[in-house]
Amino acid sequence: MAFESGWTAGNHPPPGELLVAWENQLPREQAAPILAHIQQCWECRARVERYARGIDAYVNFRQVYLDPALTPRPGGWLRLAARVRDIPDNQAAARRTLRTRIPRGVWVAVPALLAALVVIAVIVSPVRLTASVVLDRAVRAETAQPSRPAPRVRIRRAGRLIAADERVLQAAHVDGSRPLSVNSFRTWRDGLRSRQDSVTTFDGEIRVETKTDEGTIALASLTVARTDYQPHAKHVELRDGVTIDVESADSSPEHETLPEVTAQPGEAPTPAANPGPDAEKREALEMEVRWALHRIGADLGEPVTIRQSGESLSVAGTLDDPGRRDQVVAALRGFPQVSVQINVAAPDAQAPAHAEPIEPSSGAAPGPLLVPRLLNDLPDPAARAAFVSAALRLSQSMLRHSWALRRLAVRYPSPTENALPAEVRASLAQLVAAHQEDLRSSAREAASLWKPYAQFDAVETGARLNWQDASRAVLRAAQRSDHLTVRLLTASGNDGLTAADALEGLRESQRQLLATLAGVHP
Amino acid sequence: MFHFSRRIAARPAGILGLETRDAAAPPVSVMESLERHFAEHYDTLYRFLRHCGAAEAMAEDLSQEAFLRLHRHLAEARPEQNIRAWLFRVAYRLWIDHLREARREQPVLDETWELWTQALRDPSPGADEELLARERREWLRAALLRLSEVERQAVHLRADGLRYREIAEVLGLGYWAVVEAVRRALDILGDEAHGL
Repeated sequence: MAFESGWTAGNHPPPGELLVAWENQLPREQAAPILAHIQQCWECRARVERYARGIDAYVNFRQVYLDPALTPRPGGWLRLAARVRDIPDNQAAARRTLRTRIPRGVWVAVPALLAALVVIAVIVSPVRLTASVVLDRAVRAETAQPSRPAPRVRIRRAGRLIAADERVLQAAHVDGSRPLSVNSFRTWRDGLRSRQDSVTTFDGEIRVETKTDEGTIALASLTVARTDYQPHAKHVELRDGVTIDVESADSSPEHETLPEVTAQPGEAPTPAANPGPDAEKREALEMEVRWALHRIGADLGEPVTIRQSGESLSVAGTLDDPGRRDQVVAALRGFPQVSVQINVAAPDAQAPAHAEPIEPSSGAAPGPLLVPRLLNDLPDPAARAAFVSAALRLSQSMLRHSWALRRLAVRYPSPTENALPAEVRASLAQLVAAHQEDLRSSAREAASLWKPYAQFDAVETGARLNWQDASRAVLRAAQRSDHLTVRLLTASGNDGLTAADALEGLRESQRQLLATLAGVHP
Repeated sequence: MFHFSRRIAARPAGILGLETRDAAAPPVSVMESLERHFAEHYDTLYRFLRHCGAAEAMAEDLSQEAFLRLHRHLAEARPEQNIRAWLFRVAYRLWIDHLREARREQPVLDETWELWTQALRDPSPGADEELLARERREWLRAALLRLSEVERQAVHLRADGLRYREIAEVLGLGYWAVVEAVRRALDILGDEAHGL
């Protein structure tokens, strides 16, 4: 649809454009003249008001009459979860569904076409490059040239370099004396009952990748030279998150300091070992960046992420407000070594993303659960509004801080935390404590606010947990608490909840939250 | 991307999956992710299917099937962007497939009619209020029944917060066709609402 640059009285924009411009779903430069036109053209303004009346009528009708009759029966998630558990094999299910969705003719045509393609491929390429073929050739090449420079072995857990361990290498079927051995790779692969192979050719190399559901290895790949089939690299991913990378010395520059082999007989694989000096600096830098974001409250749910990628640290995100973007950028200005990429969300060319669900101007829908009591207890609208605002603010604060704690717990699970340099660990502990204190403070304030409606018990100490484990329970309690707060004060719903039930649930979730916090290890 | 709004905060499961993933962080499991999407979208999806004319059991079946497909989608580690529009699109196609199988496409489906009749049967207290309410409901019903199926579906999805482009993807229509459908629906409803 063509857009005119200016709309004058007597020259009206098409009604559809009027609607999308009024709904803020046109790029600004296209919407501006239309919106300006609406200001001066009574005819178009009347049309827009008609749209508004239509929206109001529809949303009211839907909320009052339709939606209450359209509530799904409870237990939907339980039924779905049971169905998911009943799926014996996702891939088999996918095949079954495909079979039912695709017309029968296609099932005949596709195999015929594939067969034809296979015949053509065989004719064009007399020797098909399968995993077995590549491995056979690589074994022959390896046998022909057995002595090669010792390859480099790197073992990582959750992306961090850890000390080499014989047990880990054994679990990964990596021969400690010949880590790049093709033979050991092939022996492991041949021993699998079920596996999925793929062969990729790129830049003078061929990579054989095998995935399996058996044993400790989830995926392993071997890369060989395309010219002589000499092995260049091996990559193994264990199911417990450990990855092993083996690279021939002539193909990989010295990037990382390798930890010494510290395997001790009878000792379990080290979950995480001391990072090298560069890694220590990166950890310290990341922690400082976290504190910088924390100081401006940018670690409480805004879409800002911190990533360590190789040697570099980056902070990225997309914010709605240019002012906020500037604030975040300013907070990180003191870290020139950190790459900062904060964008401001802008409407795209076709349809800007600022649509919001339509709210009715007057709600006749079933109201929030506590409203009748609030109307009675707080007849002054300003007092009611203040109560609701305070309750929502405190609930949101608890939710944000519990979310921030959970994020930290995901980033720093116990083994990772233990492997941090002492100073960084102490700094992390302070950051965790700061969130916990904010959480407690909001919870105490909420308890005081809600006193007329729910008595929060004295807090008992919950089970002893480390802060990472506790963060999950705390987040759940905060979510539950927030849901009930919103349901009591601002949201309608057909969930069968009564005010008494919701208040009891709120009391219980607050108790859980504080008890869990009280039980956290120092 | 995650924005901490009241709307999201009001949904208990709307947080976990919103954790943007660090490369080093353990990934959220498929079931956790599925549960989050279920909590966010199941009710609206079910309502949409009911609004399209699906009976209760069918709407539930199709909603669940859509989420099973989402489970597979997530299990295959496919992109997890704009799942809401994706779910609506899958559910709507399942519904269309069902209609084709049943060979009973009608301009206004019996179930839809029944649904509205049922909704309009709701008794109201007080004679005057009841009269006004009944008059208003009768009028709304008449106005809604004047809309075409596409207009009703488009306006329903728009009221659920989908953008015009997303609605176009769900219904398999062009962008401006959807805009026109919503505009026509609002014109009709707005005209009739005048003076009430």
